[in-house]
Amino acid sequence: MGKKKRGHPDVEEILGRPWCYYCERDFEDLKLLISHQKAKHFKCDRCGKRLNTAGGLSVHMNQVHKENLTSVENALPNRQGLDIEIFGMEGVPDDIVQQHNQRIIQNFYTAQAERQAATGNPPRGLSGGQGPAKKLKYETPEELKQRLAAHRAQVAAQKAAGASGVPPTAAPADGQGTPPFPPPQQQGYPYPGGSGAPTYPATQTYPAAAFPPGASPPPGAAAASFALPARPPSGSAAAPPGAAAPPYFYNGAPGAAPPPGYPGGAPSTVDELVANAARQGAGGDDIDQLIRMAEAGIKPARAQAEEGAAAAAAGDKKKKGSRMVYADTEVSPEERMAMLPRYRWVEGAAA
Amino acid sequence: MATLFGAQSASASNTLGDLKQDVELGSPPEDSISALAFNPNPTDPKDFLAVASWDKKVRIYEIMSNGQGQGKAQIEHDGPVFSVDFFKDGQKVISAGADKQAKVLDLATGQTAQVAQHDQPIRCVRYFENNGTPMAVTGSWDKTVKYWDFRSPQPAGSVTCQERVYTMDVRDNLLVVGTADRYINVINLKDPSKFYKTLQSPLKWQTRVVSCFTDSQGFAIGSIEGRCAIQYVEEKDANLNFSFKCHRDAAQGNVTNVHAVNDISFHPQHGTFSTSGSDGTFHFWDKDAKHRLKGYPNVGGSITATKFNKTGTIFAYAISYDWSKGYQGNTANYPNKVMLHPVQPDECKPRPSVKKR
Repeated sequence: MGKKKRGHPDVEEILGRPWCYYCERDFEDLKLLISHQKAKHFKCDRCGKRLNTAGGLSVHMNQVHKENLTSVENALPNRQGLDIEIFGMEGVPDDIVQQHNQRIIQNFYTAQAERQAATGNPPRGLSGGQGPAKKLKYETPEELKQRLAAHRAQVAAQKAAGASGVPPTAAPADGQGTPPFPPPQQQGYPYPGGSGAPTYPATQTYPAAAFPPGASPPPGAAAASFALPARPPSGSAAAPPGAAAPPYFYNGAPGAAPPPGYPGGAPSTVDELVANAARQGAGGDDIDQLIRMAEAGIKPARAQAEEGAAAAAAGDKKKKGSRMVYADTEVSPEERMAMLPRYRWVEGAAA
Repeated sequence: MATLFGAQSASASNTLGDLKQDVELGSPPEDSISALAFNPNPTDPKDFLAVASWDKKVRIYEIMSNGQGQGKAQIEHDGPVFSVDFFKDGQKVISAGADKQAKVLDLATGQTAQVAQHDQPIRCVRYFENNGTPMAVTGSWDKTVKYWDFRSPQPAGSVTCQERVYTMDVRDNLLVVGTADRYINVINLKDPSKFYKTLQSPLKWQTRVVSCFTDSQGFAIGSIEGRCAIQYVEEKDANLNFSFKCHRDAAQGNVTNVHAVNDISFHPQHGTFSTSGSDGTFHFWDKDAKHRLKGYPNVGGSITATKFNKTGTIFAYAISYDWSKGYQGNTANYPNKVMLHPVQPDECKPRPSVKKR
């Protein structure tokens, strides 16, 4: 027994782990795998006898219980067949092995990339000096100036919007006709190691953390501002690049009616709405604000009216995606039923 | 977990029961069925089944050896009947309902007498014996539980609950009362005037049904959110408490329809139990092994009530509309019938403990 490995094993180690054909779970060693298979996939549900293979279980069922085994228990839907004889890692078809390995490798690299992006640690075997070390956030004086100018322009635009009631066409200094949130490199930010770190797998992505620091007025905002009145930096900068604009974005569109199918139940969205509406106070014009407040105020109420007491249910129910067929928390079905004229019993009528 | 909830996977072939031999009870009630009760007297060779219905009647059938039922008697109420129970000797039947009364029918004489009165519809009625004295307990939407000794028109005792009583069950000295707003009150019938214990249901949603274990050590709770909880009365057994999901449709995309658990019945001999739901299925479970023993295909309509007979050889289930889908769901051709399922020896028997070999 060597020292217990801490942290993250490398890809060979992961690929070397024995895994179960039936459920794709992997194990520390072959012994564990075999006992897993005996317990989960080759156990007789009549008497609990643990067989070594699916074929063995089939024979056992046939002889002892006079039953026919048709499929392997607890197996993935496409791996339930009895035709393949599996014992431990033996008997797994080559193509399945290939598939499995590919999946493992892919998962490994995605996980690794995520980890590196999150921690800023260099990949294995590279010392801190080379490679994409922790992304230092620094700007040249020119850039700082440029950003300041952009910020000033935006603040001015916001003020103008607040005073005149005209949706601002805020034109930050560096407004280009690029789509919103162009990748940082295009801005000419020195990006240490950002391009072409040789050891990086293709799947490497730079998440929001890699964004230039406080890229407050997203340069693209200028182009997008027809659909989007000036927003306080906190709001828009937080939106991850490429993420589908959440529905509340559109509520700010001047004159545009809110989409009819607006999901009112999800509290998080509603919260956002309220928060945005409040934050927006300085930004949009009065009517805009009124509309927003009204939306924020009314939406939850309407949702409650519609779904009755089930609105509360929506909170944690929606995440799991289950829907209760009878979702009234206050009144039992019998009480509802008894309220019908057909069943209602009036004391006088009976006498 | 996959074994407990039988994710319709490979084991389905072994755990899916069939309904081929089920017999439909002739001349069923004309409206939704609210409750079932079997004659509990073990010395009586005959099986009598009482069926309470929204058509204001309780019908008592004798179950013949061929599985057919024959009408024997009936109790007429002035409103829908919600609950029915047999006396221990099987000679009398007590029922209660929306007319705020409970009535006792003497099967020998055919006489019916009113024995209890509430301010609101009576949701549940159960027979019990207090030191050998026959008594009844009623639970009503007027938020009270009352005890009746059949000698006086006044209740022998009364307990006020937090909320409307939705369900009750009695076994030996254990009375469990489930109310709206998820309160569960446990009463020791040796000291019936106070709650032995009050708890909030371990389930997050409206309590639909409670049912006592055959050994009266605890009870099962069913909620509208397709979930059952097994709850022991005494604190020392608290580690045995658990809950599980049931009566859920297979996920459609990312939405799973979840149905109410309408009734839970314990098998008189094996101590295993059934759950039945608005989804139209019933299942047999073993709470000790935390196993599902058998599941059955959809019977074509919500199962509103279930009951085992005294020997556990017949499992009666009522198919009728339970209002789970509101007004629209109540169509004229919705099935309304009582089915008798002959219980196969291995269906409800706990499987031998599965030890590793």
